[in-house]
Amino acid sequence: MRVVRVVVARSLLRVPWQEAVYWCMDLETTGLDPRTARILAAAAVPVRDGVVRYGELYATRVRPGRGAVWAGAEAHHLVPREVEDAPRLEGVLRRLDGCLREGVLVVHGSQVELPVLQRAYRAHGMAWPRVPVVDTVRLLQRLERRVRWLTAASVPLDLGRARAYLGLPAYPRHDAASDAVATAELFVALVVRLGARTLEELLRWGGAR
Amino acid sequence: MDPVGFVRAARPFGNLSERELAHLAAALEVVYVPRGERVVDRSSSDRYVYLVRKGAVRVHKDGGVAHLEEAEVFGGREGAFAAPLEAWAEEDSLLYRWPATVVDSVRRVPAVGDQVRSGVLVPVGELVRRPLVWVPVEATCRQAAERMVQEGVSSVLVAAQPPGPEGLPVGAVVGILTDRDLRTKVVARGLGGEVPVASVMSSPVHTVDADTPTLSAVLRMLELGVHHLPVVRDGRVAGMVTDTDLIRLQAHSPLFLLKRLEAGEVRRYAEEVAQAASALLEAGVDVGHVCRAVSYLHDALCRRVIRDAHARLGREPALYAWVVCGSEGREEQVLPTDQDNFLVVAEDGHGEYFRAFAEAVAEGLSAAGFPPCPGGYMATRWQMPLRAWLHTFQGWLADPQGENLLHLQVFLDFRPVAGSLSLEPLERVVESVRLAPVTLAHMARGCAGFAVPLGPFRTVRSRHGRVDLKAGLVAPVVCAARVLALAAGSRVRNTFARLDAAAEGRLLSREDADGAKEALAIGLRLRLQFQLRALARGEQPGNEVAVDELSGWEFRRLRQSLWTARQLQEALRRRYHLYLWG
Repeated sequence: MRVVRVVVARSLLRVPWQEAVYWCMDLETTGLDPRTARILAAAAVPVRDGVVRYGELYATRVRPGRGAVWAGAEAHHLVPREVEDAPRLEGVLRRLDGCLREGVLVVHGSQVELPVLQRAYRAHGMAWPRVPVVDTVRLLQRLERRVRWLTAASVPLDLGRARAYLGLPAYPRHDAASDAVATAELFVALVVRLGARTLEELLRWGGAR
Repeated sequence: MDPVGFVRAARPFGNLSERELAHLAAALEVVYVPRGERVVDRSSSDRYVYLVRKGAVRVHKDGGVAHLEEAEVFGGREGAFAAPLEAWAEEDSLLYRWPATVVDSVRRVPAVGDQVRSGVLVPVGELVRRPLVWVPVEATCRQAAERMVQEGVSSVLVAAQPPGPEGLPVGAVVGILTDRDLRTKVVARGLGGEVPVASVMSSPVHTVDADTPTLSAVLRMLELGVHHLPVVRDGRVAGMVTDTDLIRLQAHSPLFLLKRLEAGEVRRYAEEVAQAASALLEAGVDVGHVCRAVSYLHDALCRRVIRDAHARLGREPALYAWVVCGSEGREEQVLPTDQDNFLVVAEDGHGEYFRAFAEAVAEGLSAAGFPPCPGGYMATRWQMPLRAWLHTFQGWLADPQGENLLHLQVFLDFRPVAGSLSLEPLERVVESVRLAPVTLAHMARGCAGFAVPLGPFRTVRSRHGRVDLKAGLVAPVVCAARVLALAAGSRVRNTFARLDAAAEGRLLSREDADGAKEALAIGLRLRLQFQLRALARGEQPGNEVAVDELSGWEFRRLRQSLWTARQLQEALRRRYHLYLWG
């Protein structure tokens, strides 16, 4: 399995970064602890040829199922009624899985999103596709190392502030769809700002697992 | 603001329906171009249409250079910055783009084109559906009623002579008879069908020219309170338009609301008037016209409520005038805010009746959604005989400072809406201000006291990201216009009209007057937009706008308008030597 992945990846790693497809994803969860957090909303938008394809945005709320502890409302602003008729997680995961298998996964803050997603995969008996993952937080840290060397300034890591830092517009709404698009724009801006040429460089600077 | 929200607000392709927006959303692509890089070259610039979301782009076209900012459009096959062109990012720029074919399918000519689509600018002549129905002046009501039933119409024209081969000349029309006339003047009074139409018809007949834009016809109907207007083309009556024809053009027509008011349905008035205003604004109607249309409705509501009060309390024991003031007096109020009104009675000694009357009207207005303003300018508190009012106005004008100045700023914009007492003596007192430069100077000083939120280098100064449009833009323009119009001896109240009067009186150049009108329109329009958005979210509408939520175009217009307001204040300072006052 691992061998196959490396073979596929090697062919992709050397080509210009734009030739890979990146799915930028955001999850809204009932908390930050991956062991208990349930997914309430998910969104993903692809970057193809270096361009964010807003029209392909996939965004959905998710029915958390029985036994979910309602928490984190201050972050996700959802109330139980808003997700009670939403699709079940399994269908959402299958759809996301199709996206992930197309290329590279991009998230802002992989420590939370990845374990939650991987745990959800396991809970539904699905195999994690072991796709390459780029974390925009790590790209920001990379940018900070460069900037600090020059100016001693720090780079904010929070999604909204990082966008403002890079001159991207503010998105006042914080739902999964906005944050997925916000992450995608941030990702493209960071790639340009860091001067990354290949996927290999992106994974070296911002890779996560 | 998310991408679709931005496109909706920036309106790069004019007013779009939700379906068209969805179509754009499905094809929207986001590109990021760092500073100094080329966005597009000459050969491929017709493939995509670009919208600047953030940043700045330099466009080279036909040997010229343009600098485009947020919310501006370039590329594609149409528009001011159509291909072939070359574009470079002047700053790190976030751009939205669509394949040109997608944009071609939704693009419309903005502004005027949208009005045509929504129907408000269609010449009213095009709405005439059927040939004219008329009866001779000798006909009886029974004959007229039969003719109306036969033709399936709700009104007939009464003509002194039969139409010639070219139609009925306007001069031959002596009256109009509507189904309402038959109900209220014939049936309700127990008259028989043999009554001649001449004795119950309405006369003279108000007409409208066939080339008149539909919106103006709507305003005219509201103004006259009629439901039928004969349409005249080349001196001949071409047919009839009815309010129903006009309502059909728009879901939330002001005329529809007027009908409901007449039927006595006032409970949801505030909500409905907001919908009507929103629909007009969406249709691209100029904000001054929206204010006028809404003002007719507010007046109609007020008269309706007053009629109900009379029904309860009986006829008035003395002549009176029910007067609105403040923004309502200027016909600039759109969403119902506080009640600003006062009562003038012809003579002393009817306090009991008029106190009860004012209470009843205030209650009726608040039931319709005009919140009462206890302690404010309300007829429940502000009611006096005319003589006392003259005295009060003179007192304020003689010492226009402090509280008196505040009173003047509200009361001077008075406008009677009901009652038959003439306010001519009060008008004359106000008119005399023209010859009192010190009074005008005090008022000018009040105007200069509003802080226009501009920083150095014409930057917009916001507080917590918000700008107060009332105190920072609308109020200074309104106050300046009031001073200048009074100085010009004009009696008009509306700020747009006052600015025209100031220009005619040569107190303001034509360009400055037009600039000030434009600035006021921007202020009123942005405020109304934000208020309607707040209402849609279930929030209390205020006077502030969030700078972040403005499109680049709106922001630049706001900045320009603030600058204009400040220039106007400067002009007043110079005219009244306010620098000497400290």
